[in-house]
Amino acid sequence: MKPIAIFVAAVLGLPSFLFADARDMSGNFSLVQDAPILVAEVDPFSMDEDESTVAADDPFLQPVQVEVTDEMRRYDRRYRMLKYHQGFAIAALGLWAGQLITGQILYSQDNFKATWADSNRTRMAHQIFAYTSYSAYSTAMLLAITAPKFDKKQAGRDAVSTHRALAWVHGSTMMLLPWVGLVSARLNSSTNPPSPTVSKAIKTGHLAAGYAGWGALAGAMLTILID
Amino acid sequence: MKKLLLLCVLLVFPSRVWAETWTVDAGSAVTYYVHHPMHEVVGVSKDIKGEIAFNAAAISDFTGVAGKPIQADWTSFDSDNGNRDQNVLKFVEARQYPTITFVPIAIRIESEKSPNIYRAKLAGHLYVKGIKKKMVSDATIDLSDPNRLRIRTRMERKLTDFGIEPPSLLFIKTKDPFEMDIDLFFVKK
Repeated sequence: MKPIAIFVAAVLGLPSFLFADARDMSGNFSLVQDAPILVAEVDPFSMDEDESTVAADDPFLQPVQVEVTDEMRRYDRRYRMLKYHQGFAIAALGLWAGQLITGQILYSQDNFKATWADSNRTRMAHQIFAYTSYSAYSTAMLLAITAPKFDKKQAGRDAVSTHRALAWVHGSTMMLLPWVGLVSARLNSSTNPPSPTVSKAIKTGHLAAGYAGWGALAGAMLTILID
Repeated sequence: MKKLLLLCVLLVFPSRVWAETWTVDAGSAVTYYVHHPMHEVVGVSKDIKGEIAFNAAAISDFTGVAGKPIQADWTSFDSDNGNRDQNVLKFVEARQYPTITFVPIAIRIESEKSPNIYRAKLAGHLYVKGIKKKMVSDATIDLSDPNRLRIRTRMERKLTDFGIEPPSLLFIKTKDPFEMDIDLFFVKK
């Protein structure tokens, strides 16, 4: 009986000894199941990287082989287009600011007889800013509209929906501004110009729309930045 | 004979190292914090999977852990912005490395904060984007509920440590350092 009892005790107890006290030199127990085994010499609490495990044996370092799907391609295209959208939108914001500054100067000259800027040069600069800002804005708008959409919707209002809502404001003003400006210029240079009151009203409306649209565009950018 | 039988019992049942398996339970969360000059980005995942072997009975002098990986799928993170969540998948190359993984390798109880709540040191490896980094952090182990273990810790690293170029928004870059809060509940398997 005794040899059998000893044998049974040894067989049953052996695993306990194997796992009971696998301490390293620092006295810390560190046994990992189902993961790369550490070399005992490495103090687990030191920030030294453990180089004992081979990358090829570590399942968490192996990439998953994936087939590129249409959705992945759509997402990549969306990412690129929205990056360009950001760039053109920032350019449009800056050029629109130049348009506003020159427009304000012209308005002051026409209505308050300000003489501290050359009217012809200012008018030319205003036109250049108008054409370039319109081009940059249109490009940004087309990129946003044509970028692939995703179905993941956010509950309630979020930054992106606010950003899109403001687009109606700056979009509509940007589309109207060049035409109002051209009409105003044509009327004032025609042989039968409108009355000063009407002329001033058109210019005031043109300037106010410019400020409102620019404010909406800046606000649209802020909603993305501060979200 | 009696002494031999007693010896068998003592050999087979060393309570000091008889670790129980605990499985991640509902209520667990992993939260990342990324800092942009204009705003903070916080993303949370509540879909965590994993197990550890832990000897709660010998907590007072316990210095060990045997763990399977604790994992969260990158698609489970929610930062309240669908566009941003999609972009995160791109930055961490979630197609090739779909999960963020933490493999605990050692835990050391350091002191008792209050009854059944312990301060500890937790060591492990964090795997992000196919890169493995050692993490050592302070942790809190809560055994107030004997059937539900809670481990909380905060880890700090840099995005570039994992090969992630800090993303930019309107040409303003986010900051390199990021933090990760891990708040895990475990129940006995």
